[in-house]
Amino acid sequence: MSDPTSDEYVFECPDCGEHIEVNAGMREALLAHGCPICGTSVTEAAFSTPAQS
Amino acid sequence: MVLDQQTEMTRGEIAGLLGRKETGVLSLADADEPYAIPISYGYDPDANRFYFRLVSTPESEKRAFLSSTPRARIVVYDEAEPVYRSVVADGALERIDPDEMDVEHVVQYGNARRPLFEIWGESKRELDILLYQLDVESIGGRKVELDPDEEHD
Repeated sequence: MSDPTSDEYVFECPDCGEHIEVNAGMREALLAHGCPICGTSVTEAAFSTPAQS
Repeated sequence: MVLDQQTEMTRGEIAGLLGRKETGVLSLADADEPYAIPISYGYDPDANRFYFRLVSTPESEKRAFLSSTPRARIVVYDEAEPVYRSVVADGALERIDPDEMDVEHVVQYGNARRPLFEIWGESKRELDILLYQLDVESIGGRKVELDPDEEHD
């Protein structure tokens, strides 16, 4: 099992531009509940891995 | 108008009202100067904590109050005649660093998703949207039931 606290993705909100490094659990939460900063809906396109960002 | 009865709300009734409603009034103060604004919020009854966003600019009045007063009060009320309910919660304001958010924060801000009072006329990228939580230190609720037989003149 991977370390649940490690950052595996970079989230960039398509609406407000917020950048947050997140783990897999946070990624799922963001997809389900939207951007916590501005409330906009979030799709998988909002995530990249650190090497891609 | 005859107030039939005014009673204290139970913790369950308070949690029910705060879960059902999604807006309230946040009050801050700086010495003897008051400041109150309508907000959209999320409420976690288990943690007894409110979550909300505040949108401001560096020059805004709101920013000045936030920097000076960590203590705040939130008032939420419901007027569904014949029963009127209100909840008043006091506590300490704490700003949430986006880099330190966890899953629970994302869930709670999802509950506060609709910015019903925050005016976002500008592009969100140009706004300073800050996340806050209020850890409740004291909370109380009252409800008043009007007499259904009372005639309204």
